[in-house]
Amino acid sequence: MEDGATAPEPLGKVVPLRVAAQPPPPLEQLVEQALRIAIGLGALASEVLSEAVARTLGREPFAEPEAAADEVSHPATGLPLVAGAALGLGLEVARWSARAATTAYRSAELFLGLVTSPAPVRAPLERASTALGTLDGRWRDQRPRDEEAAGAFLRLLIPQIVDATLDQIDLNELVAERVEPDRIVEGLDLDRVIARIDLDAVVAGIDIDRIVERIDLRAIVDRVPVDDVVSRLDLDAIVARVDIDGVVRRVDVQAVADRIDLQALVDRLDLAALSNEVIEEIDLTGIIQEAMGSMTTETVGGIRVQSMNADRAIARLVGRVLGREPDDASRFGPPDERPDEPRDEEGSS
Amino acid sequence: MQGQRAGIVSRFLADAIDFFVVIAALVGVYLGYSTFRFLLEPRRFTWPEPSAMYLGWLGWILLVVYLTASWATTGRTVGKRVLGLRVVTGRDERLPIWLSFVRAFLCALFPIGLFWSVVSSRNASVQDLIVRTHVVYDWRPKLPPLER
Repeated sequence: MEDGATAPEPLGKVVPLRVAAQPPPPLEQLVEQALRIAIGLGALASEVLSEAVARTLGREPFAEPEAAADEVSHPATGLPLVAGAALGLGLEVARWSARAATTAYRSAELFLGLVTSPAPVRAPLERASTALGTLDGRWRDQRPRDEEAAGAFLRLLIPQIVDATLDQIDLNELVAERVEPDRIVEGLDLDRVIARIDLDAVVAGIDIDRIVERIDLRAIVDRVPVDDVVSRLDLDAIVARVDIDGVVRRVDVQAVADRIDLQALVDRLDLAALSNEVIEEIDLTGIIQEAMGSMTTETVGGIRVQSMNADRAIARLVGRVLGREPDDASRFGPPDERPDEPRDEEGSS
Repeated sequence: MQGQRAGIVSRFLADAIDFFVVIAALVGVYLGYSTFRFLLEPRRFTWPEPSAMYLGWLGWILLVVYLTASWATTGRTVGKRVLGLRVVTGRDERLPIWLSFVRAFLCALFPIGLFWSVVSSRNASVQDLIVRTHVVYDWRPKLPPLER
């Protein structure tokens, strides 16, 4: 047996048993433990088989009620008593046998040590040991191949056994009866689970277009209470936060003006109606009349003044011809207190 | 010079304008009469051909009526309005209608009497001397007094 612990390479998904590196326990303990395991397996197997037989007969399997903590366990009677006694006897026999065997082995070991000490006996024993070692080496050399063959056999056999077993089991019902999802979820570290999810890949795999095509936007919009939303908005505060000057500063007015088709705008205007409105609004007729009146007044005033001057000139001439003293005050009379303003009362005539 | 008696040049120009106003009124009457005749008998319409005498009398009557109405209301005719003149009594008041008629009759009868104002020491025409009126410079409007 090798001294160091070896961990055989797993043969596919079948991992062979790990070879222990500790010294073997005493023989009697090994035998006792083996017997316990055998008896335990036998008891479990008999219980399972009896339940299965009962179910095939259409009866619920008999289940021994668990004794309460304060109740005294009653001893078995009848056949169970006999069976249990037999198992107990066997266990004791096995224990005593193991002790006897251990004692006998030790005694024999001492006797053999004395018998094989002489040289004529030791040499053949050594040759025999060498031959056994060679045979052992051959076995060890073949061991990996043997284990590999055994692993291949298990890889073929175990899935069939598992399939056959699972065929007999309703896994869904089994999981529903025995699996507690709450305990599983409580034990999950969701943060780690989420951290392991490649969200980028998930999002990349989502076809947004198809999702959007299936969304009835009109129905969604119809469900939005726009009036309530708008009524809750403080538009004054919103507008107050808007830097209108900044917005206007960023507007390229020249570019906007360049894009405006002024000719098309002008064509759409009813210039005739617009002009008439302007004329009526500013009273263009009145302005023209006033201007013409002013021109006429100035003209008339000029004529009047010129005629007055001519009157005086004629009067002086006549006075000179007739030999009169120039006396405008007598001829023309005293003027009124009203000032001389060449102004007609109602414009032209 | 407002209120001073006007001289010959101003008065002559004003009377000349009045003369053409009367002529225009005469033409208007003629055209109106012709239109009336046309409307009455459009098929047999012919332009009326009044005699010179007839037209003269009609024009003379129009002149008298025109002068009378103008002097009695504002003291100005169209011509006098343009030249800024006004016919007033000796007390610088508006002419009563009978006085306006008399003066208008005399002016239409003896229009040459206007030129007496050239030699008159008071710029008075023959008609002014008869009815004791005078023509003055008056550019400002003057409403007749409100009779109670």
